[in-house]
Amino acid sequence: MSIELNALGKAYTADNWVLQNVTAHIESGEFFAIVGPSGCGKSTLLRMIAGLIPISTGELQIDGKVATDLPPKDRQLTMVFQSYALFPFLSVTDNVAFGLKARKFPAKEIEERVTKAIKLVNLEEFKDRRPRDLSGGQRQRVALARAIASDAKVCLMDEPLSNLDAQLRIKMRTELRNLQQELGLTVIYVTHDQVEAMTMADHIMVLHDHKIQQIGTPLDIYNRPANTFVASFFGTPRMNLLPARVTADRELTLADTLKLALPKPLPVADYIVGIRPTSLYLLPQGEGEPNAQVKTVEYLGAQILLEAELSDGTPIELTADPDENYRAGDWLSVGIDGNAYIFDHTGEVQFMVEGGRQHASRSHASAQA
Amino acid sequence: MMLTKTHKTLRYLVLVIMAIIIIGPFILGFWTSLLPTADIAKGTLFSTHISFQNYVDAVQQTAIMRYLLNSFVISLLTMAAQLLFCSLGAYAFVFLSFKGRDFLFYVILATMMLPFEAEVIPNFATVRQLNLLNHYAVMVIPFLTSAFGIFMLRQSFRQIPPELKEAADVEGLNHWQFYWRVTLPYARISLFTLAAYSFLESWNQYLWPMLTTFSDKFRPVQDGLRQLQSQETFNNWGMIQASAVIVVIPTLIVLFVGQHYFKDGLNEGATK
Repeated sequence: MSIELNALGKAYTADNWVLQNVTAHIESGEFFAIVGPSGCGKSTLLRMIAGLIPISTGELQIDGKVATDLPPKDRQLTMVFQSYALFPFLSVTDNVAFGLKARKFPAKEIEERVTKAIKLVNLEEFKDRRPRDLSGGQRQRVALARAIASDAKVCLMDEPLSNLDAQLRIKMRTELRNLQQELGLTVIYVTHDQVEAMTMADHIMVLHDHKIQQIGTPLDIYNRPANTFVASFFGTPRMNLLPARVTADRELTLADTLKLALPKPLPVADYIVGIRPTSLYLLPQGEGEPNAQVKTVEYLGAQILLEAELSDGTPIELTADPDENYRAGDWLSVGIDGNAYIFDHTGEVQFMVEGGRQHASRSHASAQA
Repeated sequence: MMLTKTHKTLRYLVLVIMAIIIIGPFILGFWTSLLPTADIAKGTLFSTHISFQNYVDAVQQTAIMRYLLNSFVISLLTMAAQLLFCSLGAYAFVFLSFKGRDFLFYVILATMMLPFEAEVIPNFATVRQLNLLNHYAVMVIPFLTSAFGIFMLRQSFRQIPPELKEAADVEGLNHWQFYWRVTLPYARISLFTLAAYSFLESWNQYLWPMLTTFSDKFRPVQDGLRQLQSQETFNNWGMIQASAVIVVIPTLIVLFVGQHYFKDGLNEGATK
């Protein structure tokens, strides 16, 4: 079942918009993630789709039919909550069967569906236990089984993994994704964790400041961020956002230190240039003109993360080979050899400069558009 | 903190003294119920004429069984009514939103500050107008609901995680279904508490039944006991004591059965 959000808006009091102009199309069988920082309205949007919160403006369509004012039960969807929302006085089996019983399914079908759902989430040996006798991960599985057992083909999930520990979360991510594919569910998944969204979703909606910032595939969002918010929200370590100004025809100077050649001329103005730490390179120590000083060194295992300051004091994050022995206070020579994103002063992306190896102190190799 | 030996001894000494003060009269009452009235009158408490004769006499010669039946009927009806109406009232205050909800709740709270004795005269006038005097109804109808019960259950219902309501909404439960299938089982400990409380409160009523009942047919136990004392010409203390013990037994049963349910942690696992 596809879902259509048509200029949805929510205001609790007049002109105090929690969400505005949310438009999206969610394909049948798609895993659609809604991502944003706390308080951006993502849970509100999910509850509007579920029918738990009335929609102020706009139109919601489920499976081609207008559902804007339908009560939740008629929207044919299920919901998995961050806090699991299990009934503590019911056994696992009864928790899973709860919705089916409420919808008056025949007893035989309830049993079949419940048995199958419990089997899918590997809880067979716990089916007679109460929620209080289960671990966090098992409780989460019960909540999932409840959604699976339902005949609804749309499942809304509100940060379902955020109460689990890191190891389990990674495991459940894969399990959840596999289940979704296996059952052909349309999933709308709310999370504040960009990694979760990147790894699981077919499409991602980035919400911030009451508005949609970008909708796209994980690759799109990562490689073609629409603005500085999206650019800095996705990817670890975070993208560096450096102030830039036009210093020559087809040339930008970043933080008064790094030079970036442009494929086409830009009007003279202030810009912000985004460069991921992985798109910066370091000359071997002692080579080149030093232009950044190391402030802290963090070992991440496969690489090290350097927090440094460019000569004009602008902070910048760099990654380096863990074999190199960097220490706070060392001077480095930094250059650009990956993609750079040019944003205007409001943060909207202008274009991307694909990476060639360029260095501030050396020749300015021409960049390609 | 480790307690020193003297500390511990002192603490237990205080506890023992308090236990004696509290339980002493009860044991004394129970003991005298086993003695013949002649011995009680003479003050020979350490008599050897111990028997259950007083109990047999009480059951055979007085209306104590009728009083017990009356009290059971009244207390059970009151308890059932309070469970139903208080939980419905509390449900409305928690899960329905309507204009003036909070104000109404405060009005109900305010009635708790009025002592029952202050309401006796208007209430009496009302039940007399309604022709309810000297009937079970007069002891049940004014107590169908209680402000305290609504207050207690409201607090308890507020503990129910909002996600449970949302989950129920998604599954299409209406208010009645949510009330019956989720709210009541979730708050069962509070319901047991209220049940025990309202049963005992009704069982121990004295002033109101004394004013409104005039015959053994409807008189509950507490007033019955008083009645025994004034009826018996030579005050058969042994028998009255035996009746008093019989009257206390249901209270003990309610508390004993009740404490089994007053366990913590039954609702763990609903949410993280």
